[in-house]
Order: sequence, then structure tokens, then C-alpha cells
Amino acid sequence: MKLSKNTQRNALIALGSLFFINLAWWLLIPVIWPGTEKGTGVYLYFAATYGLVTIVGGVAGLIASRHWGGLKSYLGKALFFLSLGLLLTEFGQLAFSYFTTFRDVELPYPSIADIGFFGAIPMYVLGSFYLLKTLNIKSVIKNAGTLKLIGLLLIPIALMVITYLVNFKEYSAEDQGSLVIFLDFADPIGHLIYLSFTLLALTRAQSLMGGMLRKGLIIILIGFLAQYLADMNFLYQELNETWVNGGYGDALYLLAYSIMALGLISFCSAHLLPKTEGAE
Amino acid sequence: MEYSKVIISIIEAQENIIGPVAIERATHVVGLAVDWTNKAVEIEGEPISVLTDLVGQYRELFGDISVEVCREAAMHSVGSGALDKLPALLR
Repeated sequence: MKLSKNTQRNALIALGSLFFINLAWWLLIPVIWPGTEKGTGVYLYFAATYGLVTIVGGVAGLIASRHWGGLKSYLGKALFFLSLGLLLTEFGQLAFSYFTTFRDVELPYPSIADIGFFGAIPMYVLGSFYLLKTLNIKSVIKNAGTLKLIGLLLIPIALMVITYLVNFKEYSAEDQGSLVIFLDFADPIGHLIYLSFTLLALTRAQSLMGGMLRKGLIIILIGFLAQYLADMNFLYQELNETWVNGGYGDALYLLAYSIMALGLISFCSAHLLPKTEGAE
Repeated sequence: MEYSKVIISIIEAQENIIGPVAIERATHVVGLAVDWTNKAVEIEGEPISVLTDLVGQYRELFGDISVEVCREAAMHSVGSGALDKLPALLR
């Protein structure tokens, strides 16, 4: 599929419709079906469908990636891996919902769904890494003074301490398989890596001033922050056994996925097409 | 000074970042003929003004970051000895 002058408009209509329908549905459940407990009934159907926003963002992102050089350019790679991350997340959600909601099978941890959930993390790491390359971060690091470099290093260290205090202070590896222990640690560390890259990328926001791609890049970076918060909330709720499907944690994911999808769609703008291809 | 060499370096550096859009943008510059299949360019106008316009094409996309990338590519191409022959924004 090639980028056309209608790609962005169509993707925005699809994303906007899915976002507002899902949000309205989630907000209205207690009104229309009073007494429905979170984690049951219609809440589970909400949990199964809101991830559709990632398909819109993922497909639009792949189309945009192709336009920007695909795997032959930094921006093309960034958009490609981010899109793949979103699509893998949706694979995880659909697999999870198919077994738990529609087949009534309780999935073990890890399960087939975690191929998608966990597989998305390296994609986000790669995506954010290539965003940094797109933003010419090498030059910032080369020209940064010692104090600035220490400051840049302190951010991931501080985040690591916070992650440890929130999620692992009372962690017990007893009776856990080695794969579970690996995933329990690799998951937050992976999130931490892409978050650190995102914060580093945000230091370049000022230098993007005047560029027409600034908006899309900033939206993607905000999407990363939202995704990190949603994931940390999930880990926190999961470890404290308060996570319920269709709860506020899923609404946070709906918001995070939609922001990321919006960022990817920004790179499908018709204004970026060659004039001969009918740019508006 | 070989301005065409500088221009090729700039387009190559931008191509690494934004792919074929870099070449497409270069074709919008008045006074610059691009034959990217053979990695060749021909300057048909005033070189300084062509270079400035080329950088402006990329600046439209990524703001000052694009200028920074162009500057690095130009400096890499000409070395520090001939910097005064480049447009002000690339020095």
C-alpha cells in the first residue's frame, strides 16, 4: 500500500471513531449495565476491542515507513519498528481475549499472548533508538559538556531506582520458573530503555522548531511516555493483584495506543508527498 | 572548491535519515539538476544560493536539526580549510 493524499484523512477518521466509541463505551458501562463488576461481562468485551486503534496506527505507520525509505533510512526504520510494536501488542491482546473471554480458558504466564506483549518491547526499543538517530543525537552527545552528560546518565539511573522501589522491592523469585523471572525483569528494563531514549529525544524538541515533522515526532514521544505509564501501572497492579481486565488500566492503554497511533499517522501527511503525486 | 561534492554529501547524509524524500526534496532546488542513479549533480546557478536553498528544503522538515546534519556533512566533505567558502548557515 502506498501513501496517497487520502491516507492520513482516512486513518484519522478510523482512529478518532475507534477511540471515542471505545472511550464512550467504557465510560457508559456503569450507566447502561449498572452493577457490572470490572473484569466481567461487557468490560471484557471492551478489553478485547479497544486495541483496534493499534491496527489503524500500525498499518498507517507501515505505509509511512515505506514513504520515508523503509529499512534503508533512520526515520523509515523508526516508523517500521514502532508500527510493528503496536501490531504485536494487538496480537497479544487478541490472543489473550480470544482464550480468556471467548474460549473461557485461563492462560498461564507466559502464554502465546506474551509473544505479542513482550515482543513489542524490543520493537519499541529499536523504534526509539532510530528516532534518536533521526534526531542526530550523536552530535548532542559529542558536543555535550561533562555536566550535561552526567545529567543525561542520571535520568535512567533515577528511573531504575524508582522501578525497583515500585515493582521489585518485595519481589520473590521462589517457585518461579527461569523464563518467568527473566520476563519479570526484562519487561521493566526494556521499558526503561525506551523511556530513557524518549527523554533523551525530548531534549531535541527545541531544535525541531520550524520543521513540519516536529508535531509528529513530539506526539510519538508523548505516546512513549503514556505507554510507559500504562505499562508501569499494569506491572504495579499485577504485582499487587489489583489488575482487572476492562479496568482503568485498560483505559490508560487505550489512551497510550491512540497517542502513538496519532503520531504515526502524522507521517502520512499529503503535504509530504512529491508535488507530482498530487499533494494538497 | 567542488560544490557538487558538498551537495552530494549533504543529500547522502539526508538520505540516511529520510530516505528517498531527501532526493525528491533536492529536485525542488532551482538551479540544481540531480541524477541520483549515477550519484551526480549539476549546479546550473550560483553555488552558494543553490546550497542555501538545498539546506532550506531539509530545514522545512526537521528545523535546525536538518541544518546541523547538512553542516556536518559539508564540513566532512570540505574539511576545515575551506569553510569560508560555504554559506553562513553551514559554517
